[in-house]
Amino acid sequence: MRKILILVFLCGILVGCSVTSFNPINSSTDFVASLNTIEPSIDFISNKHKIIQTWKLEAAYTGFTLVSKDYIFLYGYSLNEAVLIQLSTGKKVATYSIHEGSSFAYAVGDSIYVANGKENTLTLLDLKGKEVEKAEAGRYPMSMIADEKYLYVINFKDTFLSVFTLKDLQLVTTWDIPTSSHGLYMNGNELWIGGHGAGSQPNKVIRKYNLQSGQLQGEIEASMMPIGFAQASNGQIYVVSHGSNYVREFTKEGNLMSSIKVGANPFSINTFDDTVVVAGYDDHDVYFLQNGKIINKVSVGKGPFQLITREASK
Amino acid sequence: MKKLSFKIWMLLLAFITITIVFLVIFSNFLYEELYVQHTETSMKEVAKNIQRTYSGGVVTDDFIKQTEAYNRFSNIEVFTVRNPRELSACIPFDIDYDSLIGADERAKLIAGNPVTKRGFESRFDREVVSVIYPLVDENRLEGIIYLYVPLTKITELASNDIFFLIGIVSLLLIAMAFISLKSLQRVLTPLAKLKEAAISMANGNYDTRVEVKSQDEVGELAQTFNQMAASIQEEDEKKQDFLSIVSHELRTPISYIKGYGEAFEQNLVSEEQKEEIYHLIVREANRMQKLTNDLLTVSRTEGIESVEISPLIVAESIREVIHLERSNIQGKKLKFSIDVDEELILAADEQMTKRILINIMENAIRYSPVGATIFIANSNNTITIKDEGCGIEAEHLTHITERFYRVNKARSRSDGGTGLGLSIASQLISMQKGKLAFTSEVGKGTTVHITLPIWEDSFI
Repeated sequence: MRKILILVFLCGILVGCSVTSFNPINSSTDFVASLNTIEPSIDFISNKHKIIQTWKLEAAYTGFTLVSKDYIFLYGYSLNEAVLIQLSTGKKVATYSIHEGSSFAYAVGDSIYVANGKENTLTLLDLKGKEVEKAEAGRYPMSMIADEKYLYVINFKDTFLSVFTLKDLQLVTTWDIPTSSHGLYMNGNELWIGGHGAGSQPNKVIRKYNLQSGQLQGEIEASMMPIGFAQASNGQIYVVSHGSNYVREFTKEGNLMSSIKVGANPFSINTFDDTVVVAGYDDHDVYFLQNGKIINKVSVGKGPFQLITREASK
Repeated sequence: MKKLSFKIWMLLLAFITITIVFLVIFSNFLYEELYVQHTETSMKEVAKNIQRTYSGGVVTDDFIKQTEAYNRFSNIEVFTVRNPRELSACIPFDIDYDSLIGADERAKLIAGNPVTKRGFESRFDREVVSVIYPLVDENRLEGIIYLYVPLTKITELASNDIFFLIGIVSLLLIAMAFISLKSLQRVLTPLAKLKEAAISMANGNYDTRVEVKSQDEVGELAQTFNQMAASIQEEDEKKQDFLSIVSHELRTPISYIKGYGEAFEQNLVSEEQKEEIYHLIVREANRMQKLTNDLLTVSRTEGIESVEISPLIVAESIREVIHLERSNIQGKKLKFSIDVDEELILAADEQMTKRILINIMENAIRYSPVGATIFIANSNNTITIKDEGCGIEAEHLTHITERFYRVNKARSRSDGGTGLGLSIASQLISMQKGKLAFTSEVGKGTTVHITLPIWEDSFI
C-alpha cells in the first residue's frame, strides 16, 4: 500500500514538473494569435478567420511576442519565470528565471528584449534561457521598437525615451517625451509615439520625433488614447485609440484617410493577410478590417490584450 | 470589601451606560439602514431617469450639461464621466491614476448592471454611498452616471451640535447617577440604621429601636427587628427581675440564720428563747431548701426535651396528691369534694402531672380559709380545682404563672410560697400539650382549669 502511495506521489511530482506542452501549430500555417489576459489563454486564428487552436495557460501571462517565426515568448508581470514555446512542437523549449515586473518583450531575430517595470531594467535574452545583457532604464520601461542599430524604449512612468544599442544594450541617448506614452511606429526617419496621456487629461495626439536627433517634429491629431500602430500592405498606417474605440487610417505624411469604431476598448492592432486585426479588450472579440470596414469578427477568450501575426510565406 | 450600595450603584451606572451606548448604536443602525437605504433608492431612481435619456454612441457635451443642470438643483451629487481613464479603460496598463471605478466594477457596468458602493472614497475624501449607472453602447462603456451622497456619520451630521449632544448625554448620565444614588440611599439607609441598631443591641442596649418609615420589605424588616428587640428587652427585664427576686428571697432567710447564729455566738439568747429561735432557723432553712428545689425544677424543666406520655388515670393521681398533702390539709381542717370520672384516662407524663397537681393543690390549700372546702371535678379532659379563698383580681390573672409574680406585692413570707409553683405548673402543662386556665372571683375563690390530651386507646 505504501509503495503504491509513493508511486502515486512520484507520478504527481512528475506531472507537476512535466514540460508544458500544447497542441502544435504547423509551421506553414498563417495565424493571428490573441493573448487573452483575464482568463489566460492564447487563441490562434487562421486566415479563414476561424480559431484553429486554443492554448489554456496556467499562469497569469500578460504579454507575448513571436520569436523567429516558430517560437512564442510568454511573460507575466507577476511571474518570476518566462517561457519559450516552440509552435511547431507545442513544447516548452526554455524557461527564463527573471524577476517579477516583466512589462514588455520585443524580439529581433534570436534576441529577446524584456523590459522590467518593477526594477526599471532591460534584459537581453537568448533562445536557450540565458541572460546575455542587462541595462538600467527609466521608470517602467515598456513599449519598444528597433531599427538596425538601436533599440528605442519608452519609459512609461518617466518623461524620457531611452535609446540603447541593439547588440549590447549600451545607453546611447534619451529623448524628452510625455509620461504615459505607449505605442511606437517607425516611419522612415520619424518615430511616431502614442500614449494614454497623464493624469486626468487623455492624450489625443501622435507625436512625431526625428529618429536621429530625438526632436519633436510635430503632432498628428488622433482620437483619444492612440496606443497601437500597424502598417498595412498598402503602406497606410493604422492607429488604434483605445479611449474612443477608433481605428484611424493615416498616410505616411500623417494625413487622416479614414476612421472607424472598432470593438470595445481595443488595445492591440496588427496587420494580417491584407487585413487589419484589432482586439476588443472589453467585448472579447477580434475584428478583421479591410478597406476601412469591418469584414469579420471572431470571439476569443476574455480580455484579448495583445495580437501577434505570423505569415509563414513572408 | 466593597459595600453593597456601591456594587448596586455601579451596576445601575453600567446599565445606564450600556443603554446609552445601545441607543447610539441603534440610532446609527437606523440611520444606516433606513436613511441610507432610502437615499440609495432615490439615487437609483434619478440615475435610471438620466440613463433613459442616453441614446447611444459617444456621450455628448449636452448630456454632460444636462447632468450638471440636474446636479445644481438636487441634493444628490450627480455627474457623468466619459474619460476612459476614469472608467479604468487602461486597466491592463499600470497607470498611476486613481480611477473612479475598478476593474471588477467596470466589468459589471459593461454587462449593463449598476454598481452600488458604500464606504470611503478617496476621490471625495469621505465616506459616501454611491450609485453608478453605465452608459453602454455595443459593449462599449461610453460613460457612467455617478451619483453619490456623503455618508455622514450621525456625529458628523450633528457636528455643530456635537458638544451640545455630548453635554446633554453627560448631564443625563450625571442626573441618572445622582438619582440612582439617592434612590439607593433611600433604600439602603434604613438597612444601615438597622445594622447600627443591631450592633447597639449586641452591646446590650435592648431599648434600641429603629424608625419604620416605609411599608416595603425594608420597612417590614425594621418592624420585625423592633418586635425582636422588644422581646429581647422583655426577656432581659424578666431575667433581671428573676435574679433580683431570687437573691432577695434567699437573702431574707440567710440574714435570719446569720442574725440568730451571731446571737448564739455572742450568748445573747436567753434559755427560754432558744427553742423558738431553733424553730425559726429550721423554718428558714426549709424555706431555702424549698426555694432551691423549685429553682432546680424550673431550670430542669427548661432543659427537658422529651416527655414520657403514657395513659394516666387522673382520679388515682388526685388521690395520691391529696394523700401527700394530708398534713397541710389536716392543719387547716379542709374538706374535699371530689367528683372526677374514674374512667378518665389522659395522655400525660405521670410525674409531671403529679407535680402540677401538687403545686396547684398547695396554692388552693394555702389560700383557703380554715375549714373551707376544695372542689375537684372534671369535665371531659379538663380537671377543675376550686377553692374558697380570697380570689384574684382580673388584672393579675394573666400574670400569675410568671415566676415570682406577686399578687400581693407586700406578700409576707408567712404564706410560704416560693413564687415558682404556678410557673412550674404552667411549663409542665405546655410541655404535655395541655392548657392551664384560671377563673376567679374576688372574695369567693379561684378555679384552676387543667386540660390535658385524652388517651386515645388504639385497642378500643
